[in-house]
Amino acid sequence: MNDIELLRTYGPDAPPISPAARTAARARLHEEMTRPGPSGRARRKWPLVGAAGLGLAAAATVVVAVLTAPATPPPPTSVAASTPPATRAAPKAIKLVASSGPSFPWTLPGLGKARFTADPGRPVIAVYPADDGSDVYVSSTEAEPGSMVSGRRETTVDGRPARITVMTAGATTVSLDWEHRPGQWVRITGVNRYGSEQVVRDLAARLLDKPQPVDLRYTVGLVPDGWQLSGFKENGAIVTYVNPDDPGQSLSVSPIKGIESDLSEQVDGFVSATTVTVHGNRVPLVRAKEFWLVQVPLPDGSAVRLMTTLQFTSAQVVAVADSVRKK
Amino acid sequence: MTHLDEAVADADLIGASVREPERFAPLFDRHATAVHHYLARRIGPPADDLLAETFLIAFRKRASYQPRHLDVRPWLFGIATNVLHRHLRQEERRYRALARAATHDAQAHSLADEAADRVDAQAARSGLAAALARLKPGDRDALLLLAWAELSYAEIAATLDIPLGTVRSRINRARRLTREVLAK
Repeated sequence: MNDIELLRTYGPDAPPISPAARTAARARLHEEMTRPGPSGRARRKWPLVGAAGLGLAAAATVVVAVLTAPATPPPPTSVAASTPPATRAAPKAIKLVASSGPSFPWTLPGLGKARFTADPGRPVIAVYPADDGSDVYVSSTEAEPGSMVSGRRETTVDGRPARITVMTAGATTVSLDWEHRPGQWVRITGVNRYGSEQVVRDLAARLLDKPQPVDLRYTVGLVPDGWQLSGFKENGAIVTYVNPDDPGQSLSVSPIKGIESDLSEQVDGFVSATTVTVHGNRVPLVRAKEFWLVQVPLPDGSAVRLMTTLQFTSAQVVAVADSVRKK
Repeated sequence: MTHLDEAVADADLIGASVREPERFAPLFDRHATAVHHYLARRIGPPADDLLAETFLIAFRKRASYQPRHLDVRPWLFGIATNVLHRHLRQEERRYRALARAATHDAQAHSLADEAADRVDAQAARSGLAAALARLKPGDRDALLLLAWAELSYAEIAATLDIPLGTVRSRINRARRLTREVLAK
């Protein structure tokens, strides 16, 4: 047996794709294919339609100003990298508020437990997978229709504006977008058994304005006021919040193997490091040209990395790090 | 449908999807399993998320697709390989961990006087994982596109956008190092 055959036979095994993971990936692709907008490609600024604008909101139940500070001045970096577009408004100061965790605003009863997935900057999708590939997706969407999808037509739901999109390439997939509440558009997509106009209309009639919690492996107890959860990975191992007014402003939490005392060689654009206390442990807080980075030791011995953009003050970064919990 | 028919159909779908995005959907249904298998062998469970990323990127880049080869798989594997590059350390950590685990298993089986071929298999697993961790990223890409994605040298050259001669030298170097590690 030569080395290529050995690699095929004895190389690392591949865990098979689970139906849920396949469904989630397909849902994200479907959302991308049918997204509103003229090209079906360009990324746009996020819509601002209230708490459900992204189909998911960080439930900031206790709105308490914890730390407020002027925006950090731009870092010493290249002009091209740091100069904002002329049209962008001056960045507002970050105000941290307590967050009780994200929730998805709607529930579709009778289809089992939803899983959640999201591409960064795009609506969170509740996925109701079925063993035979007859999946159902629910997400927020926008009033403006896309112009590129051929199987789309205007319709109404209970007298409110709506549109139906039928896709017959591959698995039959039917989406119903409608104005569920004034200014609030929802999309329900059915695949295979659920891929008919009548079925998605029936599903739409069953949709409840009942928030359901989104389970994430890590929670962030303090987030900037008005920021929203975005682009978390399938099991909530990587969590990102962004400013919907400026998606270039973000914070993210991701697992790491352990705490390292010296990051100067590892961090791109390293500028400086100071020692801070997070969860009772002394750890380096790194300022790089474009972000803050701090390693967060957790009580169970694991650790995560918190990265934020430079609109945060160092004290705010530490406060956010102290608020990270593992479920 | 023959392989050639499928390849032509894939290329046609990508072309049609530029005007009608929904035409892209069958590509996912046809190739998701193979792309996931390739990603999962290289990085393990994070392949679930990287699969979605790969197809989102493919969809966004569909207008620039140029079928240098009829088969769309090299294009998809190329995107998947680029997505993996953002997780290089994670991939290498996985190989090192697998090498340690396989070594441990081999020793345990040896002590228990297990069948020799089973010990040999564990040793091979350990050696292969150790070798993969040591390869230069570009060499590893070429080797694994050959071994796991089962692409030809010409397809690998198109996938990685490098000359055919570079593919040959990368694969030769990777195979030589792999054999050296296995021989130890």
